[in-house]
Amino acid sequence: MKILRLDNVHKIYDESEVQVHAVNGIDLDFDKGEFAAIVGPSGSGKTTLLNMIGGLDQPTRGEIIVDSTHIGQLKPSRLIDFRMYNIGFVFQAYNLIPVLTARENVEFIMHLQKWPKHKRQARSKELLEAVGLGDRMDSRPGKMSGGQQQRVAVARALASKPKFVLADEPTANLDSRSTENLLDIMEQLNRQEQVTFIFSTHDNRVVKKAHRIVTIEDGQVKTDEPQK
Amino acid sequence: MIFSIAWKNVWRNRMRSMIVMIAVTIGMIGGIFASAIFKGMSDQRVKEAIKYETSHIQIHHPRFKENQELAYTVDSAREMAALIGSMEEVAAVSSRLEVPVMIKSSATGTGVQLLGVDPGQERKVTDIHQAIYDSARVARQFGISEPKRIRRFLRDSVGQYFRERSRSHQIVIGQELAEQLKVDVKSKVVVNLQTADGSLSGGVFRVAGIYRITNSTFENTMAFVRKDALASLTGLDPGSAHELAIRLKDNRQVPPMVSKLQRIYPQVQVMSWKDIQPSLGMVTQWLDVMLYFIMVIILLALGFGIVNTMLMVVMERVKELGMLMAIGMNRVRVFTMIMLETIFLSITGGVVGMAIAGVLIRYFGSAGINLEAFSKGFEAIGYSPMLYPQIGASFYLTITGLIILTAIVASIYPAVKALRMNPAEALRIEI
Repeated sequence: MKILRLDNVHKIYDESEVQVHAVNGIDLDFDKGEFAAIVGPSGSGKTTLLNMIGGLDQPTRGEIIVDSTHIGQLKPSRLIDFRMYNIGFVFQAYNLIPVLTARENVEFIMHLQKWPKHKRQARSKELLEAVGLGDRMDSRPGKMSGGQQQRVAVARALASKPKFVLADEPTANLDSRSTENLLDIMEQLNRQEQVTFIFSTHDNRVVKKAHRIVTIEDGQVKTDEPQK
Repeated sequence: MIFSIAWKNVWRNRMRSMIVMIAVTIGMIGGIFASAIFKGMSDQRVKEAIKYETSHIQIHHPRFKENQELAYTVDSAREMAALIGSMEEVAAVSSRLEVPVMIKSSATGTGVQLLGVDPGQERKVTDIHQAIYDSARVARQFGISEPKRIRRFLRDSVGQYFRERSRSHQIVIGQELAEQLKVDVKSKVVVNLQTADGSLSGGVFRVAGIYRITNSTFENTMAFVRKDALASLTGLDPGSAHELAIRLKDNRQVPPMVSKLQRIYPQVQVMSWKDIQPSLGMVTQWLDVMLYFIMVIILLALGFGIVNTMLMVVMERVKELGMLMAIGMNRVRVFTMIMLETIFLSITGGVVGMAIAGVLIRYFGSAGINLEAFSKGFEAIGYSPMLYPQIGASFYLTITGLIILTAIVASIYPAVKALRMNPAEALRIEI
């Protein structure tokens, strides 16, 4: 079942008098429950592509369709709501809210979505236990290691049961052990929750774990292959 | 949850928040305490003016105030005084004659307004009689501190209001006038005046008492004698009156009573204390405006500090704000969060400042602030050198509102700055 479709997506930046084609006619489909990595060298366009998939940037040309919604046609206010209900984000620098505990960080989006308290609490507990932080629910990010913070970020991204999770270099700031640990957890949650994960990464350890690898170069898809 | 985040965010950089809060606290203490001093001075001045000088309401012949002719007496003053005195709102009425005279001692002479009063009635309307007996300060000024000696001094030197059994013509004068004429209690003074028929007349009066109030101009220009004595000197009917001075039971009744009396007695001029001393009325009204003006200036200055702090907050948290907007926090919520942070930051300092100012005002409101060293200057403009700061509860409420308003206004620029961010750029994410 297709949940995300990119149809001839272009992104052109006007820099001084030169036009930069960051994304140059990309067509891609993602199914429900995929665990895909977008790889490519710096400047290949993977950042821009993920920004557009996440609704943080608009394509110059082409369509991005999530389920049946053309996200390029949404008004800015609707787009924010659309992101909140449909897309989970995991950032390279974790970006947790430092004044909130792990549990409160996970509950934050559910709060914005006005979930009842008991459901919020049950879901945050379930997710934090799933990422192995059942005993750190009341810790603030400042008291946690990078790996632990990124696991909270994964739990937060999954909290409101989005259609897919976009992860920007999620392991870039982690050591090998934390990376292995995080990838195992994400793979497990991908199976359990049947949520699509799309990563951008340079990290071979992430690439090895991905079930599908999309290679981008010069704003175009070079290869798109499944991996066993 | 936005409330909770905003409150927690305030304490992220404790030192910086504390500096802003302390600035707001000091600003509030300074502003409110200064306002309370001015308000206390003004209220005290009004109270004393009513108590000693004007009473609440005065009734005159319509032309008396512009041209103080002896003939401009109030028609049927006795009946009018009796009727007004029986009104529910009225505490007492004093029927007075008021004549410009020359007063002379063996040393010098000067012009004063001589009020002919019935001491019994006058005691109920003005408190000049207390300004004589309560003048322990005068005794201290003469270097007398022992209680027994103070009492003797008051009896022998400051005198009494009017002695009931005295046969001589008695006069009660102000301290300033006594000093100018170089007279003491029991001294004789000569009063010269024009009678009702235009001839000159005069009489000898013995100083019965010297009053001391906070208005040295009044002390210097107003003297009191018995009404019948003044009537016999001027040839006026002792039952007639140039002025009916009315004391009400409640200050707030002044405007409605002025209207009521003017309606009942259209042939006379009914004046409130504000009409009698327009400068005083104007000062109190302006003072109210000035108090808020002071606070607005203080809050404006603080507002710029708050804007600066909140801009720093926003700039420091660009990435976090970008993340919040990326994951679904809409603009209204981001704006609300920054606005709430600003309000919490300001109101915390404001509440502490108001509490400390409240305690200070409560303490000094009863103990007073003694500025005796500047008494000459204060008394020259009718104010007591003993200040009792005071401020109404409504002032605190208004100040709270103003602080919140300042915080809201101060939050707009930083919040707009935050809202203009593009989440992707703010995050510098390479998704």
